[in-house]
Formats: sequence, C-alpha cells, structure tokens
Amino acid sequence: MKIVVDSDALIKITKAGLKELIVNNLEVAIPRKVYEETVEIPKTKGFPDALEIEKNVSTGRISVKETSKGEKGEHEVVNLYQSGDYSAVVSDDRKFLKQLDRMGIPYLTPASIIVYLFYRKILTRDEAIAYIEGLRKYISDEEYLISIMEVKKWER
Amino acid sequence: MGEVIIIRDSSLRSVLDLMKKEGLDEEGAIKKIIRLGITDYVLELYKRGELTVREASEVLQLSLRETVELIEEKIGGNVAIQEQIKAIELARKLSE
Repeated sequence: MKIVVDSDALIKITKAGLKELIVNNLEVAIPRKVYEETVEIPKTKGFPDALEIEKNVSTGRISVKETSKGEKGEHEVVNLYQSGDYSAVVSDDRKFLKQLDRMGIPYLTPASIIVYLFYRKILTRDEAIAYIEGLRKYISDEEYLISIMEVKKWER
Repeated sequence: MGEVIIIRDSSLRSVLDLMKKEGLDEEGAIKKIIRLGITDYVLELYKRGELTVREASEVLQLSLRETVELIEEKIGGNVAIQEQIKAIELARKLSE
C-alpha cells in the first residue's frame, strides 16, 4: 500500500518508534516541503528525529517527491496524493483531515495504520496494543481509545 | 505610537508582583503574560480543529517542528471521534 504522509504524522510516528515498522511494510512518500519541515529545518535545531527520517530517505525507504509548489505543505501533500496511485494521506491534524474529507481524499491517522497492520496480520493483537500505547502521548484520547477498542474486540 | 490600554485587574497586579520577584521588570512581565496567553489561545484553536499545525506555527512564529513539540507537551493530539472512526473504516477496507 502506498501512502503520502504529512509532517505532523511523520514526526509523531518517528518519535513514537513506529517509523521502521511502517516503512518496512508500506510504501511511504512525502513531498519536498514535508522533507524540509521534518529534516532540513529541525536538523539545524538539533531534533534527533530529523536524523532518523533523513536516514530512511537516504536508504530509499521514504521517497521524497517533487510537486508543483503550493504555498503550504498541506497543498503539496494533496498534490502528491493526486499525482500518483496512492491509497491514502496520513495526517494527525484534525482541520487538515476535515479538508481531506471535503475533497473526497481518503485518510489514515497514525493509530489507524497500526490497526491496518493488525488487520493484515502483520501485527499480533498484543503487538498492536503495545504500539498504540506507544503513540498515546502524541495523539488525542479519542484516537487512542477508538483504536485500542478496535484491536481488543478481535480475539486472536 | 502604539495605543495605550488600561487594564484594571487585581489578579494581574498580583501576578506582576510575583514576576517582579523572579527578576522581571513590569514591561518584561507583561510581554511574558501576553505571550503565554497567545500560546494558550492558539493551542486551544488547534485543539478545536480550527487551525492546522502549520497555521498555529505561523501565528506563534515557531517552526512546524517546534510547534509539534509544544502541542505534544500541552495537548497531545486533536483528532476527534468521527475522524478516527473514518480512518479505522478505511484501514479495514484497505486490508481486505
């Protein structure tokens, strides 16, 4: 499955220690603007997750795509989604998710990716719960509770 | 020349006195209170889904990465029930 990830979601996924799981199981693409916001600028300010993301880019696990430059990163994320055969945009930003919804663009949140990997049987129930717990401090209570309840209802 | 605003608020006076004890002069203390108020207000708008992270970072004049850090510290996330249910439904559909 090919996904386009925005800056906010990529930072949270990285900080929560989920990035390797996700880049090993999904095709992850980001527009140039997201690369600037998550790697180039944070690197100058000493954010360690910027180096981790950069490593994935240099090994090709995350591909950086050129898009027609929008004024804002959200536009570049939408442009990239519309330019290729992507299944969804990943974001954890409520206003942006509402915009995607109005545009008819399918979206996932960081916790719902864990649920997806659980549905695909890439993660066991216990592993999925542990990963969602790892995300807890970065996401809303609603995102956390709905995801945990979804995984817990399956007995396997 | 900027506009002069007179605020009569006894709690403001008390806070200013406390901040003076921390070594801030009156102007520095007022600037700090305004900055804290702006940050709280912007984060509240973000929490309600009325601003994106990027818009919040522009108002606060921080980088997006710094704003994500601030949001993590003060709020966590802002995805509401309806968006998360939709995301889970899509996750189910894509896994089939």
